[in-house]
Amino acid sequence: MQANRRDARRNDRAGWWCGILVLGLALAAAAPALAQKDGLYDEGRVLEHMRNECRGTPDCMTVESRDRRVAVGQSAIVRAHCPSSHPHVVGWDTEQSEHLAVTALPPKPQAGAAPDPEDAGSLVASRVLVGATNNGDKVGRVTLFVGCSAGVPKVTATLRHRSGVPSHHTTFSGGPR
Amino acid sequence: MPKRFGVLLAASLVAVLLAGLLHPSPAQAGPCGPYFNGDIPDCEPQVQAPVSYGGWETQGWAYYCTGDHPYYWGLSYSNYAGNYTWDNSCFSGIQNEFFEDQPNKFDATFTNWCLSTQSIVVTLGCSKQPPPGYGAACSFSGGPVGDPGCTQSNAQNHCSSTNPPVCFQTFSETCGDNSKYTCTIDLLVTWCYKCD
Repeated sequence: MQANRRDARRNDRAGWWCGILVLGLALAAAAPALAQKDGLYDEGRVLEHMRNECRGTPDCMTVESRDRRVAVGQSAIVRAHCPSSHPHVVGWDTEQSEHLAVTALPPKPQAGAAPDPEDAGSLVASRVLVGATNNGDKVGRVTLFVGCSAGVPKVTATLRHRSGVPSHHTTFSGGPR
Repeated sequence: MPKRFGVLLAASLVAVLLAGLLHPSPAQAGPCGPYFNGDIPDCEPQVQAPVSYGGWETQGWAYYCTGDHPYYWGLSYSNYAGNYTWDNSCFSGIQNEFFEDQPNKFDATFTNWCLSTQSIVVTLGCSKQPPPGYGAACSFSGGPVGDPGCTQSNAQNHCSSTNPPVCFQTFSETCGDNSKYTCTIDLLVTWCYKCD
């Protein structure tokens, strides 16, 4: 009888130690996330240039815009033009901070002309116009890359938007911060 | 024993949740069907060029049906949802119905949930037949026929916002026996559906 009670106490103690061990492991796993500062974005992460501006189009050259800095809470318009030797826009891509959202803009209508409702994709003639919005807590940067071809390209897809998944939005346990 | 079982169960649940979060499945049906409300008529899959995404990255794309199957039966013009597929389980995709303002356009936002760079190939279900909500000149039930060569009217151009634009033209034809057709011409190929 006494031996049974001793076994039961030993089992209880083992259960406690097991619980403490699991708790310790969980805290150790969560430590990096807890150490991060507030904010959804990792402002140091850069979304690399993925070379989606040409996507296999023959005789396509890439034109790069100037590196553009975007202040916290601000938006900026970035543009790039194709040269006369390769006047047709094939597509566009960026290198940008994770906390920037970059969206293709419709072209400005010419003075006195009504905006063309069909022309909402921003790829017009030989230039691309995008808007970059900073959703983070630090200055961000973006460079625009435009694919330009000498001949009229066969295009059946256009990029409208690029952004990063906020690195701090989820932890590796899948839960919200 | 029950405690250990509970811990194992919890760990398994977390693993399943993580797997679902990081590797969502692509759409299961093919781009042309089957669907609960039937297959898309006169449909062919059109494979788009591959696109690269960095890890944990979102991109919004507009894709267009073209050639002799220029119609995309999206949510804007039909009850068909999900007549598109993609080939990489790292991605989740959401269709943007309100951006589908042309009958040849599919618009979606894709996210690469894997940590490494991934490529995605999207395939659209594209039809010869105008979608039901598109407002074809008449209702029809038969299959496509060649151009009957009768009097044309009500010609309309439809172009994408790509550069160069992806365009096709629709028009009506009325023949001497008073039979009517609704027609499409794309890349110099014309086909028609006879009105009921």
